[in-house]
Amino acid sequence: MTVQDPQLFTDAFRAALTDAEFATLLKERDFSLQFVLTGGSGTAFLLDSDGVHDGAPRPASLRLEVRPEALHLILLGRLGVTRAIVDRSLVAKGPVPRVRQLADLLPPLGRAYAQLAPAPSGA
Amino acid sequence: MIATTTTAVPNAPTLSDLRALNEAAMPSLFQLPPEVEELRDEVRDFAQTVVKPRTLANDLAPADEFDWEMVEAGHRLGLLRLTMPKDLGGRGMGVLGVAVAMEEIASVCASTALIFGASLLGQTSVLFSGDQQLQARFLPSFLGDRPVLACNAITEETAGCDLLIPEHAELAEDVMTARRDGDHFVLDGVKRFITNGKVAEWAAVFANIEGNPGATGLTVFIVPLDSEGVTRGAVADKMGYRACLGTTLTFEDVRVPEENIVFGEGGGWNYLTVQSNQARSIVAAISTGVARGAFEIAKEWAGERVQAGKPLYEHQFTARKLAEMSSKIEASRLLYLQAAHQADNMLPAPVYGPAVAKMYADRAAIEVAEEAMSIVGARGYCREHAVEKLVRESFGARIYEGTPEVLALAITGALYGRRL
Repeated sequence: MTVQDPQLFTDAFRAALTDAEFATLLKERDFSLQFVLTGGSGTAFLLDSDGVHDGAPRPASLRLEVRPEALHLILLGRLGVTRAIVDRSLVAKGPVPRVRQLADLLPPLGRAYAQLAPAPSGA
Repeated sequence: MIATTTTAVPNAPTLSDLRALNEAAMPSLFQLPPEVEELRDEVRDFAQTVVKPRTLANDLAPADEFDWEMVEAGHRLGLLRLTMPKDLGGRGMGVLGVAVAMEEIASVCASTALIFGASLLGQTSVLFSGDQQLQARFLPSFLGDRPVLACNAITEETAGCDLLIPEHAELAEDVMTARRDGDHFVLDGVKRFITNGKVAEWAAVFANIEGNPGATGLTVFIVPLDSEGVTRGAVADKMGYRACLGTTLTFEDVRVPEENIVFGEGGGWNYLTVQSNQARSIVAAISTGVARGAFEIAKEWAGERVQAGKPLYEHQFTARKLAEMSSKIEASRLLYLQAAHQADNMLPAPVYGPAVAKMYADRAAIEVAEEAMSIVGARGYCREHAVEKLVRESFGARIYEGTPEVLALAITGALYGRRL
């Protein structure tokens, strides 16, 4: 798999939901994230406390339009959400306070993703 | 000769009262959140009871006088920490809340609105960065008893619009330089017309990393203004906006630690466009406030002043003017509310809506203020009359945060899909 493969993200997010603490956090905050991968396939999927769903089955509390390579770096902690927004590799649509809450949600997603992500080239 | 008299129209509602009456009958499509309505009412009271009585004196004062007492009263209300999250001790407002607050203050004094607005703009880079270390160093001073101001330092002698249009980056001339020296950068250059520069504690300074052509290496540095090598110069003797001080800031070999960079080396342009799109709806709100302030003066006068046996507002030409003025104010407000709402629900904020709102509201403010002075007549042309000041202030917002020419490029850039 490459970082361009949407399934890498959905697999990682499903794995993250096995962490009960993370699933509870999503549920308590009534938080759902719709990811739209830009610059290619336009693949969309939605993450909520119930799972990862294809497409956009319901309105999400935050819609993240993001380039796969930027999402890859964000999940690995190599690119901050704010930097990604400022350089427009990420567009966040939804209430700004929700965007701030991403700081709490990204670490568990990142840990799961790091288990599956391809090693950096040259490593 | 026709005798002139005046007579008051009893219980005539203000434009704000009228809107509230209409909304009670039929809710607006655009409902302000309760916390924003509450803020608006608090700030309206502050504007009417604290700012308005001091407006004339502040306008007529020497260019370098600054009304700290008024700022302190605004600070007690939380105006200097409006956008700081509640968990950091702020009021947790977004662009919408700031814009609505600025309209209220600008309806009596646009320059007072800009004192608070410019400080909030300076804070934006630190807040938006999410950099907790920077936040811990530079935000707590806004929470103390003493009012503290920040500022944003972009404009230079030869680079104004060239620092607002990304396509001009390579063409910008003589931009302030930042030279790396170990783990510090050394800043050299001169910033011009910096609102709050005379009185701010620190500035978000935009400088070009040495070696990059023009301003292609534009970078944001947070610089305490008591740093060695910083000189606060003379205050510009402006036509309007006299309560806020626009100052030259000179930087000579000013050493700034690299951890004071926000958004990384070369991140200045990307941040600047994000910031501008947020700020433009707020400036549109300031223009809306100026127009509203001038309109209310003209409306009151047209209700009192009797010519040819009837009040001015019953004369068709004046009625037409008043109707068009109020229409422009309502349109300006809807445009800025929409733009602010977008900015609070999309990061980065879109280009188009805020640019359209600012372009329309800035023009409307000039037109409404000019008509207001025309209705008031000779009195309105005199320095001691509030409408004369609002006429002068109406021209100010066309210059800062994007001139009509810069806005036109932003709007057409969006229309043709170059910059969304």
